[in-house]
Amino acid sequence: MDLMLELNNISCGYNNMPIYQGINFKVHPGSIVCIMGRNGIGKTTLLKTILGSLNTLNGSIILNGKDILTYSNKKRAQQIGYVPQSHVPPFPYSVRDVVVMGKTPHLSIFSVPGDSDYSQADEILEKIGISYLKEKIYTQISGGERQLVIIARALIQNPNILIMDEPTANLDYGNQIKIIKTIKALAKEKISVIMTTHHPEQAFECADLVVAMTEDKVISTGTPVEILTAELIEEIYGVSVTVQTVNVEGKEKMICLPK
Amino acid sequence: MEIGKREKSQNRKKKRVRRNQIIIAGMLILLIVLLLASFTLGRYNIDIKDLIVYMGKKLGINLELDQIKEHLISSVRFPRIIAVILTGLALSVSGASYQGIFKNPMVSPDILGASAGAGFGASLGILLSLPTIMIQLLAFGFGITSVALSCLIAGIVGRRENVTLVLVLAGMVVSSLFSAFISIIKYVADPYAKLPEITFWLMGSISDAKNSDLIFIIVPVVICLTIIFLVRWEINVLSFGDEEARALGVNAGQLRLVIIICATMLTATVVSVSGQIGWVGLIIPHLARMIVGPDYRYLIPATAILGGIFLLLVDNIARTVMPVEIPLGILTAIIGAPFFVFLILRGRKGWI
Repeated sequence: MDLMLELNNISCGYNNMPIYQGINFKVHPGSIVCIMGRNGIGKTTLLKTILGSLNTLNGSIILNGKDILTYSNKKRAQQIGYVPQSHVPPFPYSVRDVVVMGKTPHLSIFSVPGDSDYSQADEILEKIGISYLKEKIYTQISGGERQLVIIARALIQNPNILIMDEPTANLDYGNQIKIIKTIKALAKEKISVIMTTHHPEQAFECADLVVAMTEDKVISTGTPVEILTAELIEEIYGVSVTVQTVNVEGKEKMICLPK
Repeated sequence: MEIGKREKSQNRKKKRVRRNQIIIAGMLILLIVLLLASFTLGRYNIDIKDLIVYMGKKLGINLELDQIKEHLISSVRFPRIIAVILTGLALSVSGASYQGIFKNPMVSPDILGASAGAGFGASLGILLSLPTIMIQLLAFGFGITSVALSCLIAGIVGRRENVTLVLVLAGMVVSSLFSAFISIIKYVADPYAKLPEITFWLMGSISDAKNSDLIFIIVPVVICLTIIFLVRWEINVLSFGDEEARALGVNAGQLRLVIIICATMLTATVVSVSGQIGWVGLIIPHLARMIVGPDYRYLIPATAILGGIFLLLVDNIARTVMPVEIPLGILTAIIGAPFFVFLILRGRKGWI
């Protein structure tokens, strides 16, 4: 399999103060990477580092065989899409306008999107099943809907990699499952997803690789079944849990319950 | 069925685009009509016929026009009307740009201290009895300086976190500092000659604009306006915050700096000529947003034209309603403040 993104011995943090050191993992096309760790351990810092918002303090990030530092913002944005935790912008843009903003990396600085960009936005909204939102005002729709719109905005960027910061945070149960389904569908189309999550079930459900950031600065990587043991989850979150296999309509699923 | 639905929504989008284009074209026509009508207003009676005769004469047709009328049209009313339109336009576009890059619909061109700095520069110039051009240069220089100072303070304090908030707070600090400097100058100024002059300048007025002033306004305004117009789509993206803008391929830091420089140049340029005219930069972008929506592609042109229309209307009131001229800054505040309350009452809905 081709390699998309490779993190080599990354240290990340603010103002030359490393928060976390020695992070190594590889992302293949169409694979889903779940980053787990307690609040404040540095998950978002790691995401920001991959996005280029923060400089790497040590190590290198290789994107398609080239150091990520050699990419311009625009070139990187053509490869990596970002789905932040959705927030309300100050101005009431329409959902369509928000999605079309994802076209920005493909426009020259002095140009504006045109009709074809808008029809592409409509197609993507339809694809992820929210075309009913397109005439709505982005600031007036629900948090879950906004999250889906932001995913649509990242998809119109046509990226090979999507970075998602807790994509299911603040969403109701139904929307959480919808988002995870959407992520799995994207991975089938060879888009790699790097996401942070706090739910072991989500990692069991979709992850090809789990990157667990633990307290003693030791990072564990592996498939969920390999590494997401009760012991590791206890180590990450400081609570005792049990991990069990259940049979759901003939399929084996892993669940994690507090003891 | 599906295709029909998509076509329908495509058409709706096109209709909205066309609607905005028609609105902007309509505003432009209104501005031109108002511009022509403004020539006929004032103490000395000039009618449309005189204006047509004057334009005919300029085009080389041999026509007779009263000397006084010709002088009034070309050297009094023309520079004033153009200066007023450019001032309204510059303040409004500057306000709209600030609102976009600071992600806050409640900020205005004075936010980084441009107005207070320019006010101080002008007061200093008047105190030292400098020639008008030097007064304008001082106003301009201190306007830019105070914004640079705000950015510097924010840069030292803020590092990477909460850039916007720190910048706005730094702007408040710098503004009040320069307001204090203005007070010092007023305090030491000769109360019979200089103090009234400074006070009137600070109230804002474009009544004595001359043709020779115009070039100092037109050149910077056109340059800055063009730059902002060209990057207007990116302002949309910037209003989502730096991180998202960067992830969308925009060099957020650089672009914000360019826009701050242009918006500040716009404000400092016109404030150095017109004095402090408040509220325009705050309410006109809101009004434009109510009409064409928040998308900066249409908001920038709509704001520019609407700003020109608004200040021209206010200036026409200023020079016709009372026997003595009312300073523009007073009128914009009297009109602006209640209008702003109206905007707040309409709430977010009004910005759609």
